[in-house]
Amino acid sequence: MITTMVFDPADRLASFERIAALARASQAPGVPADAPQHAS
Amino acid sequence: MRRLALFGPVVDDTALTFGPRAVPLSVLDLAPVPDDGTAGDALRATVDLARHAERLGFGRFWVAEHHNMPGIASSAPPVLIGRIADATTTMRVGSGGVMLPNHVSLVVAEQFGMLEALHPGRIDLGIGRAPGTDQVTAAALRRSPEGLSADDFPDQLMDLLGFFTGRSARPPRSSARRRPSAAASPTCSTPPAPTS
Repeated sequence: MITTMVFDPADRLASFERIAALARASQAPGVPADAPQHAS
Repeated sequence: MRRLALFGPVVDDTALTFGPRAVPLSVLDLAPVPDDGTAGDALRATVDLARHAERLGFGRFWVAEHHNMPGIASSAPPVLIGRIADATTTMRVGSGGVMLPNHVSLVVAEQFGMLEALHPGRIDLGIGRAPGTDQVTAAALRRSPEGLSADDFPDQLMDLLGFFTGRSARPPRSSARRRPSAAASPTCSTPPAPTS
């Protein structure tokens, strides 16, 4: 299990939108399978 | 923390993942109370966040158990899980986690059995063994200071599994302490599946 703390009290919804955007970008074609998977 | 995915460990295949290795992404929330807000504000914000997380594709939404902390509103995970499960439709919802030594195993089994009955296939039960609070509050939760030193977490966990399945899960050497006819109601139709 990998945990990443997300805490932007001013706009928590936006924090998770950014995480989701990063996740989608990380699966774009051309990203190598051994690419770093650290999103914090 | 070791979790028990009691009602099926599989997250929807369409859930949000990270990286080429498709690491599943989920949310753990403590319902933080804003400086100028109330616990009600925090809990409503948590429900809003859960709806948002579901729209974004996160696979699970878990809530924590903390007591006597003015900055954290999530003190009763089953209550909040029920509200979040009502407010969402597909995402799995659960505890991260229920601090088992603070509770009677049968009550935990019945609370999560009810949640599973109301929201089939969507409920996770994550378990922890810390008090999730200070020593005074922990003693109040466990009804006495002596309860703080109890070291029966493995037995409690085996009881919990047994209450879900209706059969004793304890090792034979301690089975004499168990009530053989006790079972949770409602119980789950899917056998518990511990995962790490």
